[in-house]
Amino acid sequence: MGKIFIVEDDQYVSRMYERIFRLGGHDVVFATDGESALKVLMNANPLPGVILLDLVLPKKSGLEVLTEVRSDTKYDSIPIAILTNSVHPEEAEKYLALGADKYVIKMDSQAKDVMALAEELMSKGRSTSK
Amino acid sequence: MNKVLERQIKKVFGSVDNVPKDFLPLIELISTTYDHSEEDRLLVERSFDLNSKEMSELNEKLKVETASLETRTKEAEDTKHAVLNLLEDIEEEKKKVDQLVILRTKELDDEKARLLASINSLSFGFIIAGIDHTILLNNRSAVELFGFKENEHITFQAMSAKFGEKFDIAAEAERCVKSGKVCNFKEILFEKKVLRGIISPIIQKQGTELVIGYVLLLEDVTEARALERSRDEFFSIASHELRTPLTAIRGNADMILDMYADKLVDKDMKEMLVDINTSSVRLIDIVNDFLEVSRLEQGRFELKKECFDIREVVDKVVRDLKSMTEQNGVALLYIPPGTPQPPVCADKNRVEQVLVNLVGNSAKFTKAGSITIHTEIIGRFLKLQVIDTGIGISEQNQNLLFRKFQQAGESTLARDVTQGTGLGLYICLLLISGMGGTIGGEKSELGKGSTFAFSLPLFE
Repeated sequence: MGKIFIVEDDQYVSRMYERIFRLGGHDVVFATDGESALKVLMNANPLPGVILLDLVLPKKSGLEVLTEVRSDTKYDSIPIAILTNSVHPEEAEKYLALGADKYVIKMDSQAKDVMALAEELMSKGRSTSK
Repeated sequence: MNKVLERQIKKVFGSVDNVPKDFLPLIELISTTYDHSEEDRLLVERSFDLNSKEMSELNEKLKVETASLETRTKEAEDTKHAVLNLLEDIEEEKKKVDQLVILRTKELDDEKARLLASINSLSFGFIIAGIDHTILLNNRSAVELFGFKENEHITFQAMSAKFGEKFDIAAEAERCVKSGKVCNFKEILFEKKVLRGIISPIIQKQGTELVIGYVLLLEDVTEARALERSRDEFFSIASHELRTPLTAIRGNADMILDMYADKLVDKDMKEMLVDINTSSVRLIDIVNDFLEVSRLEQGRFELKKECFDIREVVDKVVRDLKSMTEQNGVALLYIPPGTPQPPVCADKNRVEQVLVNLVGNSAKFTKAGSITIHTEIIGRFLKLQVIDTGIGISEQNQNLLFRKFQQAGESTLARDVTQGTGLGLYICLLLISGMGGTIGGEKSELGKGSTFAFSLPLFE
């Protein structure tokens, strides 16, 4: 199974995810801002199995990262889950339309549920590859 | 022969037969004269009698006439007096009326001055126009708002030109005048300002209703909007900033309890962790409720208009919450009506949210017995009741529960810090009102239970 790529600027949140994913036997890669996220992806070999993407990020926002990743066919097969604490849940559809595969509110989800979701996305792959 | 003459003759001659023949013609003449005189006398007497009778009659008549004349004269006199009095009264009345007119005119002038002062002191633009758009009155704020010179009289053309194409004031005013209804404009962009406008028809109600013009109110809400926006932004950022550390607190506490349970040998330590976890979940609920209230209050949410059978929602909620209530020994029941009910028009998920809240609330305060859901059609609405056999609250407090941050303890309205945010029912109220229904406490008796109900419009 591929690595889980976490793009998250809050060190406590990313550390929490790191712990549970490692406990679950997964390899984890991190980026703490949008720009470095794109760089990590460019140099990744093999490509990560899933990207957990925060929206509010320094340098480049999650929206920009999502748009750029989805505009490159090379990454077509990587599922992306938006993992956010956004206060605008109504925007979920917008991100799904832009090519995100899931939209999750971090605060309302338990860490183990996030892991289950990541595992599901990795094993099933993208349902609507474009 | 006349008796007197006869007596005289007898005196002189002893008997009539003794009268010498020569005297006879004379006596005859005297007798005739006597007779005539007697006739005359009788005639005179009669005539006198007659005259006296007529006279008396005439006199009577005269008396009557005189009396009548006197009466009429008196009447005329009285009438004259009355007329004079009346004239005096009228004169007095007129004086009073004149005084009243002066007083009322002054009052009206005062009233007008007060009104004008009020209108001029209004912070929003106030314009009264006739049906032909002639501007009859405008206040200073209107002049300032449009950037006209002080004391300049606003003309409709000048105002219309200021608005430009962004707001067709003539068309909107005509729409208002034609419909006879108040028209609201939440946002009129004007130069660099944001205005809120109201056009209200002036209706004269003498006989048939007639629109004789309109009032235009314009409020500069530029600053208010900016403030609102910055408040929203602050709220979003604050809420987002709260969510991030909460995610880490909840996630870590969760993970320790879940994955390191075997290492938590110390009872106190485990309890402390459970408390951290519970509190973080509660804090998350609070942040979510705050956000929800903020969004609902600002109308920044969309309620769907779905057509569905309420039974679907009730069945789901009963399924989801049954185990929770039964754990406490409380039955959760829905007895659907015998015949299917027409569908309602509302946001299905939001209706479910409200029902979950009401059932959850009942469950909190019901330690035994049951929570029963009942649905019925009333007019063009469906009414859903949640009837519990819980501790109940006083009726006056039942509806206070729907206010912000209200919670009922046993019997008094005390903030129960261990459960909820005090916003749940308030959110329900905002949601149900947004869907065109009503919500509230129906009845409650201390110690016997409460009934809460909401209504939803039927699909038409």
